[in-house]
Amino acid sequence: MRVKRESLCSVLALMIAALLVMSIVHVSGDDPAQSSSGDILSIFFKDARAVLGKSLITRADSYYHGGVTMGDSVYCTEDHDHAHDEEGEHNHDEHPDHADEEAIHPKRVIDPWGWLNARIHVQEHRHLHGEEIEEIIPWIWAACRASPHNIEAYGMGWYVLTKMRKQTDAGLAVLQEGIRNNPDDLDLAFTLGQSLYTDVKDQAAAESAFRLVREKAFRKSKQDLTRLSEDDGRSLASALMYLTRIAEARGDIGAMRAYFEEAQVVAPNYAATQGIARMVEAAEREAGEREAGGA
Amino acid sequence: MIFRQFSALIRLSLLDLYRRKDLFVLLVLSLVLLAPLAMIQPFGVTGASRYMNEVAMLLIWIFSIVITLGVTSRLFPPEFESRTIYPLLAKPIGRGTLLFGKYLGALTTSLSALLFFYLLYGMMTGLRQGEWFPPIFMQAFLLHVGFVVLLAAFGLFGSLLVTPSANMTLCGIIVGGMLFYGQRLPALAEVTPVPAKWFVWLSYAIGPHFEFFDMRQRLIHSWSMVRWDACLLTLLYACVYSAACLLLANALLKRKKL
Repeated sequence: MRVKRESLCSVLALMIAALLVMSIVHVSGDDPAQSSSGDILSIFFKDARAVLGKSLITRADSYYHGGVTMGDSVYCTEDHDHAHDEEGEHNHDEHPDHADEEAIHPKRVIDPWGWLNARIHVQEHRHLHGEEIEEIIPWIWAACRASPHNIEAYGMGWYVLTKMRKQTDAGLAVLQEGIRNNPDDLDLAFTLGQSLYTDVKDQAAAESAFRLVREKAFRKSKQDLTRLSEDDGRSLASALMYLTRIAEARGDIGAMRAYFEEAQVVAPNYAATQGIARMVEAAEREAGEREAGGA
Repeated sequence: MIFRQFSALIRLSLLDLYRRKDLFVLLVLSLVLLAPLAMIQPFGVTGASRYMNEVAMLLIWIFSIVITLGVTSRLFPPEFESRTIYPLLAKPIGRGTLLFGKYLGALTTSLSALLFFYLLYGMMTGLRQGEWFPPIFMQAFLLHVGFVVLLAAFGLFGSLLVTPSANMTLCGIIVGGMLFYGQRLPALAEVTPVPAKWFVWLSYAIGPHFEFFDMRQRLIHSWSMVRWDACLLTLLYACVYSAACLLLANALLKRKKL
């Protein structure tokens, strides 16, 4: 009798727990956080893997700077912050290398230990050039393996392989792996389209990749683009800019206008949206002139 | 006479290390770690070598710390426990001679292991990169020797104060702390409130600066060599600090009631 009662209580407790979980999912309105791979290790070590992935990317960055972690120099007073271009890309060409060993500027009154440390440990940085760039690839690879949801690692892998080493196929393979592991990410999907457009010069493949970005954006925002995050909005606006350019080449002003309206919803002040506006304006002006000429 | 005593103590220490097969275990461990790393081709790229050098160098540093601390921590406590210190001192050997002889033995043992690891590293990089024992490699080895000289003296001093396991743990924490944060102690002191601030400054002023000897960054990323004046000053620092540790250890051993 007692065993029966305990079993009944256990079943009831399980049912209550299941109801609680379901109600949380229902109230939050979002899908429950899940590991896409679903294995038990991924679920338990998800955060640890993410932290490891980030630290491996930091290591890759430090390798790019000759083993120096940026902002970690103890004795150098000059601020060597990196320049970033409009798109947020890391721009390494806007400041010179600092390989001069004599350019050590102690921050405070020189103490003997500080003096020794400043001469033994590298206090400035330099960039990898040419073939040397492959030295950072193992760390990016390890970051992708450690954390398959590390978007930055896949983006960096693509950039290093495609742009720096001119290995477009290998770079695209990295991107596709990233997209497989992160099917909802708009940034990687946009980068794939951009690479197909600019590196492979395959306009048809690029167009379908950009269309896929648009579809993903609609799916992710549940048909309401205002719900997209700022980053996703920018990725979509950038994809729309390329789609507008392709539509412009076809002379499809209707599609151009539609893309402009969508871009205005997601990122009205973004440079890509302004670029679309200029393209639409020019296309309308040209069409108007043509009509006037025809009349 | 004294040299014969020293050489006997050194021989004993060397025999002890190689009989216990510590080195062999560490070698197998490094092979197990490095062999798979050497075989991977990240994204199909085969030319990268610095990551291998970094892991190998890290292992060399860890192993040199483990071996040096392992050897020095066990120099005196087992002798006291098993009372074998009495026949040793009855030879007759002065306590100072015994201490210095044991230190030399521990140092020779640790340095022999270090030389072995550096030779393997040199051959590995030579085979992979075609660069055999460049000058910066020799300088890194020289500074690593300075590190072992200092660590052996520091560990020996600690072995007369606490038990071997406590000594290994404490020395390990100090070595790790100094390697990671030694350079940053002044910056840390600046942001620390007053009572702790003086402690940080004191640690910076009198603590053993093991980070001086770490040339891994220069070696792995092909930076230029350290200026020789700085290198020699660092080695001088190791000698002076080690001498201070040995003098303190000698004073402790002389006061110890046996």
